[in-house]
Amino acid sequence: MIDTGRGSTALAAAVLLGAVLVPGVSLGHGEAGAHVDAFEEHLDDYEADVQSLAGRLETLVDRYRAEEDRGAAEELEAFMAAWKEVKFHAAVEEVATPLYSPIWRAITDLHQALESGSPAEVVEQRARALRATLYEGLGGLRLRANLDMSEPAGDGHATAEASSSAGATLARIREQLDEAVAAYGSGDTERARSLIEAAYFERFEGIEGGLIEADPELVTRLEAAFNAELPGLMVEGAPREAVADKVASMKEALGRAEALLGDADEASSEVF
Amino acid sequence: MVDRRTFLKGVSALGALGVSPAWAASAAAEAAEAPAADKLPELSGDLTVYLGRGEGGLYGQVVEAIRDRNPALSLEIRRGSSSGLANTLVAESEHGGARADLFWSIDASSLGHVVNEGLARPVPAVLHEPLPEAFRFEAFAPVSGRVRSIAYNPERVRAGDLPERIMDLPDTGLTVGWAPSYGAFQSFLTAMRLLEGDAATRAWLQGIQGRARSYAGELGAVMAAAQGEVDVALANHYYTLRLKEGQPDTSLELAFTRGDAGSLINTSGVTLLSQGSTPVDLVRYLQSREVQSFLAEEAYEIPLAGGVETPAGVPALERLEPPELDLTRLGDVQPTLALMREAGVL
Repeated sequence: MIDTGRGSTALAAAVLLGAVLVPGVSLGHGEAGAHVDAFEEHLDDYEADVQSLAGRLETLVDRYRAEEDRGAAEELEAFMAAWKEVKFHAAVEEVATPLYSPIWRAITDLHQALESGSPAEVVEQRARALRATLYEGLGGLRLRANLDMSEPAGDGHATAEASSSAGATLARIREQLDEAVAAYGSGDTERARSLIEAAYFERFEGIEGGLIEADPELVTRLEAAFNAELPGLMVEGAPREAVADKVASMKEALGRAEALLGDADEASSEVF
Repeated sequence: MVDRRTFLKGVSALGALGVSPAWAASAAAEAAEAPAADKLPELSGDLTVYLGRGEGGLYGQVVEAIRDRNPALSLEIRRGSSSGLANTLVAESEHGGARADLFWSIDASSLGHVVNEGLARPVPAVLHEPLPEAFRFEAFAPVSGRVRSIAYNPERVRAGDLPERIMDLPDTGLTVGWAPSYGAFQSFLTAMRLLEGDAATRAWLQGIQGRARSYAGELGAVMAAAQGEVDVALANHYYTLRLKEGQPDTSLELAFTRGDAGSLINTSGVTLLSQGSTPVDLVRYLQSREVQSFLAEEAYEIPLAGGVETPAGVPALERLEPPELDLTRLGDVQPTLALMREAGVL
């Protein structure tokens, strides 16, 4: 949810998390070594590192969901210790450098969620976001090592899709939510959650700025729905009808957003 | 919803801490007039732009508008995170050459990675001319700016109690809201490290930390200042403006420090990755009066090209006193992260 540039985060995060104090954490720099110079030959090692780190995050979320707050904090400490030690750390820092700081940002976000006693859905969303940055780092290393120039390159999230109006963007979001309900109904929870994340990160964030000005409370509700409530229902194994009801309420809110953004579009100037 | 122009006219407290005459003269006098779009050459041929995602899709809207205006131009746009696209460009260069002609990033730090890998072609004089001297970089052309600011609630804090130097903030006793995981904050701290040194930056962090509250994003920090959770928030200027547009009665003002990292102007910008006149001419469209005004009015960004009127409320360049810093150096963020970890902030 947090972006390097501007505007894309904060309202819902602030509401969901409230103000939180960041405790001091002693962190290291990862194991640098000869492997970095020959990083192409160590991609499997790095993948194993990432899988191991992702597994720790899964354990952390499970323990948090089981209301083992202390246990979850211990898991985070274990994650940090492992992150300090793995070869992947130095590789992404030295080779896929632009993708290094987003990992730290995601770690900090997860840390804050734990420290503030956020709802489990928020902690899980932060853990998933962190896992995504780890895999993006791994993807960046693979890209650096094995880019096939005959294929379109990407960062894992890049898209050549044309930009579109707010109305078209919202229409696609609604379609993705419907697809997510269908995927969930067929038992493919992972795909359902990917669709929700794509709808949020790839589309909703692009229209969020203008919407904050029009109705910040609406943004808050939608951010919470995208990032916590809807994924939470799926993780809990809620009945398909409950998921569909949630999506229906989100689509209603998106309709309100469309009306507001339509008004804003009419008021806004053309570029030329 | 409040009309944007009406709102912007209503924001009044910018530049509370004064202006350097030298900087104002530099900003105003050296930049040539931004070209009008109808004076620019029509674009044609094939062009690939890597476009960092952000700014509510406005950058994409600008590029699409340029495409619509130039039907003979075959423009491919690839969107992604600026950091991801920077890594992709480096990878492409290592495997036969970058596939983009231009990289428009939402921040200078991602451009720095591309520049440091030697991928950026020199910026020609025609792209320097509309910019103030301080923004004429060899390796990238800034498009629009955002300035670091101190957001404060005037019902709790008097403007006179705010420091003129960001390094003096720890001595004020004010409580601070910040978002240490935010890229903009890390760029600000990188600037401090480059300008003041590691030891001073570490001491600054340690001096504030006991009175700092961390937020997940800078809008959250600014909201906290408005609501009295903290005395001041450290954030880019536009969060306050967006918040006040949505909630005009919010008691919140902006202040700027003088000539240090606290008043850093970071920019979006473009690196040229291929030869030829078309990429350069496309950047000229970005520097046009129309695009500069559009970004200022729609995204509260600071116009950098000369002669472009800054909407009321958006801090005008000549009223700010940013530090002198090559913004591509903001890509050197790892030592900053290490320092933040060492200080226990991250």
